[in-house]
Amino acid sequence: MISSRHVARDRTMYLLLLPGLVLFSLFVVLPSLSSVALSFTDWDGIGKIGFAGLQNYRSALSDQLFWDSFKNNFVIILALTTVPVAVSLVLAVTLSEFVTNRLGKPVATVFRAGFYVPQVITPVASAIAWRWILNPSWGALNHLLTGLGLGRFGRGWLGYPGSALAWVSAILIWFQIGYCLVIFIAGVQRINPAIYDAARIDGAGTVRRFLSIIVPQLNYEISVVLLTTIMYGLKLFDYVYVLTRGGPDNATSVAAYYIYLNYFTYFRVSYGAAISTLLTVGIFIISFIFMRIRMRYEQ
Amino acid sequence: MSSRRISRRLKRIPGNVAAIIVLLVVLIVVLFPIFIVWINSFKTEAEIANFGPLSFPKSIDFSVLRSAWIKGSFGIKFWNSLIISGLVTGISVIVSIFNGYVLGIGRIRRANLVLFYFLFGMMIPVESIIYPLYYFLRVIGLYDTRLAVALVISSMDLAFGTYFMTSVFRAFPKSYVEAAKIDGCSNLVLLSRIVVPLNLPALFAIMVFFFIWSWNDMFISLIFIVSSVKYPMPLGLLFFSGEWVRYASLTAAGATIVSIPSIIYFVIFQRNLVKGITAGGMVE
Repeated sequence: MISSRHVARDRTMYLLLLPGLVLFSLFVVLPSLSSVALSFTDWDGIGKIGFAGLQNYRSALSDQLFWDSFKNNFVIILALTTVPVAVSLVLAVTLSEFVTNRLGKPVATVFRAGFYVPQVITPVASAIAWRWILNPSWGALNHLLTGLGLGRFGRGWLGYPGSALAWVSAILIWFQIGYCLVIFIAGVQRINPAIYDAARIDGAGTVRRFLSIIVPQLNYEISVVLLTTIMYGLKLFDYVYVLTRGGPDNATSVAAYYIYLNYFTYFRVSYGAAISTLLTVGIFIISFIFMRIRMRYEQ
Repeated sequence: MSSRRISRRLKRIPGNVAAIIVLLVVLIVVLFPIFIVWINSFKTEAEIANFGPLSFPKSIDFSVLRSAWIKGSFGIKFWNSLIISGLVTGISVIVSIFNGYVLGIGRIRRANLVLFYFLFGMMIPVESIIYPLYYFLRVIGLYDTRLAVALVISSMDLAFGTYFMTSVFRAFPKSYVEAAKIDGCSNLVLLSRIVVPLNLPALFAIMVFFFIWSWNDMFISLIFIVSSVKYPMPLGLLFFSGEWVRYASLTAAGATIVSIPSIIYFVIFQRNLVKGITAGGMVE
């Protein structure tokens, strides 16, 4: 009697789990496994599928565009794991130490909300806004430079190979600061004020307190932000697509964009699948490394 | 009123004025790009051509915004976005609640294995699923539908939702569950009458997340939607800005129109969002 009721209860449980498992398997896991399988073929998306072994992976290794795209991901990740992290750490401490204490919590909240605005605006709209500002003929930046007497430095910033990647990175830094800030503010609030006060009484200056108390205490938050940022940098597509389409001359192409081109423009589906498999493997490896590091911290 | 109070406060911050000035400068730099595009959507083409992008608009004139709204048919696009985000939020929240309930409160065999399955899938990048899905959705006739976009986004989001809700429900007091079971509550009654009502803040946080994530999506709809009458707002803006690329004030107006719903959501949901980000970041 009891055991049959147990079975019935279990059955409801599995029924509840069913929609999620079906959706997730059908729309995420199976397609991803199909991509892995496709990467060993020579499919163009229309014709017959033939087995190609490791050919796609071999061509990737000798493909300059493949390396350039991943190199650009790397440059962007480098920019995003340094500048926004450093800037937001300083902002978070300034906001919690000065603004909250002296001007009150509402003022701090307004500041935090202001810094967070780039995170909430639809990326396409932000990217169009930036393209507008960097436009060679009516762009605000060139007009600003002219106003400052530096007009000769003005140019089509996103169309110039020397500056395009720097500007894409700068725009992403602008986008990313708010995210880091919100996580760090939560972290600063978690720090035991007693440690902080003790250091102040011992005569530690602002910079000293920042470097030897706040940064080490925020270890966990920093690792979260780093992992999220690296993942974001690896998967980046929308900003690049709207700002530059990978141009000029592939100067800002990234892995996701190159995969997209192979799928839908070059009709090299299997090759695109091979690159996306490499990307997936890279993401798994980085996630596992971070998990290991975190487990070691927690022990 | 309180200019005296403010000045009294300012006196109390002798050395910190610099810090606040730095904050203000950074804030202005962060908000300036949005601000400059907004004010230029109130100018005519001629005004931008004559006075440049940095001047203040001579008058508050909505005619360019109105014509951008009509030329881009942003009204329809707004509805499309609302339909897609509404579907995603509904599907993902319900499925995440089910999964979280089973894995966090119910006792099933191999619960951790199932959780691990979702966790593992959370790492899969959209680039690696997009082509097989593109093919599959064409075969089953769902290509070029808003439903397809909503299903794909929901399926990707529900991995996070499952993880999030499982950890929320695991922290839910076991005594409530046991008391209800002793009273003879079935799982569905327990879930809908006790567990859901007592966890509304967490549910609301992921709802806001799902809604805003799907609202901001461009990639999925770019791949799966071809008819312009079905474009959501971001995709609509993308093609609008391509079509009117030579028109400074129209482009600015398009970007302004599409950025406004995001700002409204932010103002409404600020608190939930910030709480969710912090919790979500920690979960990941």
